Amino acid sequence: MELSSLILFMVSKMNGERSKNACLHIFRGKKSSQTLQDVQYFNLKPFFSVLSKLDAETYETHLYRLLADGYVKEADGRLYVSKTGLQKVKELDSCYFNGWDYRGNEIVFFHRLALAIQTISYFKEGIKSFMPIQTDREVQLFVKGMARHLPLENKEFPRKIGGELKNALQASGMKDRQKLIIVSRLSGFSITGRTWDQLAEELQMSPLSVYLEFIEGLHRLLDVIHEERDYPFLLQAAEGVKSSLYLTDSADQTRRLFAKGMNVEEIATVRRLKLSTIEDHFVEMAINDKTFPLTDFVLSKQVNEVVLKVEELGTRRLRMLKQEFGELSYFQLRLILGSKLGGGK
Amino acid sequence: MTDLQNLLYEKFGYRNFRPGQENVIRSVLQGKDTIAILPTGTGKSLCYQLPSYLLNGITIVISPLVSLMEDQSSSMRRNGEKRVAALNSFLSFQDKNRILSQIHLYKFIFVSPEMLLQRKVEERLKQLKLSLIVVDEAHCISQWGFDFRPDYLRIGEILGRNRPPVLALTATADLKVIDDITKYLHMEMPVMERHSLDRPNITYVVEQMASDEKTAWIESRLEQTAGPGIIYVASRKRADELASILSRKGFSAAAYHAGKEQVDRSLIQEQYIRGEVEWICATNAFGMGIHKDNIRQIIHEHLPNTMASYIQEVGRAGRDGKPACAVLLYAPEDENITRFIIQNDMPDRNSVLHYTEWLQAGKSLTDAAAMAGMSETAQRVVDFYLSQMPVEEVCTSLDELRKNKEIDLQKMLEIVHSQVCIRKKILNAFGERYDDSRKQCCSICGLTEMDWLWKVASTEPQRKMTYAWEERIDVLLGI
Repeated sequence: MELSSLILFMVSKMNGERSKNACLHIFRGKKSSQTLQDVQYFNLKPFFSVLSKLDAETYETHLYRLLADGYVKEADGRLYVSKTGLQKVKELDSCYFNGWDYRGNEIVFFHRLALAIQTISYFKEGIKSFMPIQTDREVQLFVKGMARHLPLENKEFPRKIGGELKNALQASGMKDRQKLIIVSRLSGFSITGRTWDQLAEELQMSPLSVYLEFIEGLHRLLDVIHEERDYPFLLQAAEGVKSSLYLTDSADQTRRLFAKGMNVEEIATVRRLKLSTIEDHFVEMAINDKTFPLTDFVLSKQVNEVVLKVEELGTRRLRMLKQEFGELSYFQLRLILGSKLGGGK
Repeated sequence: MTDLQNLLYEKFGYRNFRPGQENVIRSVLQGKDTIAILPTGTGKSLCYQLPSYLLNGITIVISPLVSLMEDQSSSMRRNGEKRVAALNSFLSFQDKNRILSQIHLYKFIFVSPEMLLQRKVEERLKQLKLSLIVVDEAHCISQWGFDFRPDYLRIGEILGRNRPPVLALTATADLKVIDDITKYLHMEMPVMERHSLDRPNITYVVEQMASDEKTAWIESRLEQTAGPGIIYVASRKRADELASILSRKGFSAAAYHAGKEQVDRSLIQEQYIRGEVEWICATNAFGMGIHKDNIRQIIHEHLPNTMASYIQEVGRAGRDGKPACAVLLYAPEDENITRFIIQNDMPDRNSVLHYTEWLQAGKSLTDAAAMAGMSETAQRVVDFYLSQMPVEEVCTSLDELRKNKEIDLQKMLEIVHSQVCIRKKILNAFGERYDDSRKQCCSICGLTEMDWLWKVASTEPQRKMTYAWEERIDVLLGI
């Protein structure tokens, strides 16, 4: 799988309608209204955010190759597909990206999977402390939480997980080479994962092609995990990975500023909106985004107490809850209800 | 057995201290500022971990490298000390907040100098009861050091006067560097613990050749002599290139540099430590925090900037005490290549003047730096000086700095062209005397009894690394 083939395919869809950076923005998953419209209108959702770290230089090298080969033409700053280009598009293998649903989170899933497999592998050997291959604390905490519910001491457990992974990979319909790439990135007690360079060398492909096949493979694997209910372990590792974020544009802008590290007040100042509007956006995020960091706003102890109280009282009415939890603001209560119970009244 | 030894055994499982450790620990416990110059691999981190258990309060460890910080904090966690936090700029916003909000629950807080300068972090740390401040790789504070980090210079300011004792740790420091450490960390009459830099089991070799002969030399070296080893090269590009040449020739080699993604860097380290890969082609980004005892060879394909960085890199060989060899490949043009790299890092008078003009014209710091042609590091150095002194003095200081870098380079060249014992030259450069003579010393003293270096005819068959995908899952999970 070549990056240039993907570009050619995308150009054939947007034929003459867009400038050369449109594809780059889609690969990188730029959340501008222009790019979001483009992927909808031209049916390019699968490619959205597939290569979030693609640098302009690499992109242009591949694009120029297409221009030099005469598959793509540039006129008035727009890209067109040529007749030979169109012929070439017909010969391309179909691909099965699902960037719209996963938006780069497939990597999060994989990092969790890799650490979980490493953990299982070491526990099998009776080793409970080892150098984790994933240094990301977020991933480490997630897997730690996951491991608490796994029968790590059970002798048969690794075999069960191995079976589940094999079945899911098989059911996903990806190529054998992709299965090999995915499992080669995993590390365990007696074997260490391979780097992109090493895989490229072993498979006689460019590192970028290896990476693209890896991402597509993960998308297919995640699709299977979500569609069928036969993969409980993998589904656990995939928690919150599938994007259900269909926020309004304005809320999404707020979400982006939040992701950059701004707090509610700062966002209101920057966006020149009322504090209450921004708070509404946060509630929207809490409802829609399973990975919303609720504990940045309230203590997990308070969350539990509110959830229990809601069950006890059988109501989600804010005023009643506010009487019970004087120390929590209305905003905090709405966040808890949004995140845990899908909203309040 | 002393109380300290009991604690050593109880917490770390060792019966005895390594040379230097106990003196450092006693000095820290007496509340004295301390500078410890101990060779890498001699358990520097124990020098602060152990006394921390006897002190009532939090220990801050300021550490320049994120990878080093991660490595130390996770190795402490593995050894059962869970009250460890690492604050660095790679943390997500949420993580940072989570750590800051519960920071009082930790016993050891690793922090990068950039983070320390953030107001939020600074304020939070001020509320805590600190018992010890450790500055790791303290040579980074010195503008004469090879790793100068301007952010380090501000540590002293932030700590203020009313502070717990400071422990400065480093592997290499000459007198100038020690002066800087004392001055910028505002240390008061620091106790100095220093241990000889001599590594008797390392043999030093200089090989003169033309630049275009180096690749072939390395190939035949790898064919004939024993690994594992590290080949230090001048650039990321060269690391990739050399690794791919070598692996195409059937050697087990991989590249390592800061341009690789984090997971790949961990994988390479892990493969190297386990012996799945034998040779690493690396920039100077590789090494700190790598615990591998049986490295037999360090090859430098380029001329390092300073003796200190050379010693640090070479010192990674032979930690197991068995013989090891350090080879420096030198071609006549290397002198100018290294000089160019050094000078290029250092802003000159013109670019400083341009920079200040652009700033006065209202440009942002980054834009002004870009237009004056200064690198990011250069900009940080200049910013620091500009905040301390007038422009003219900044220029003079930079000239001075440039002169000193040239002196460092000349010292390195003295080794290359040395007519006398290389070991002696190196040790003298750090103010140590050496009048001994021993076998396997260096290429000047003569390389006798080097049999260990040559490969035994048949090496054992390589462990199988390639599997079909299903087979690999079985191996992974031990099924």
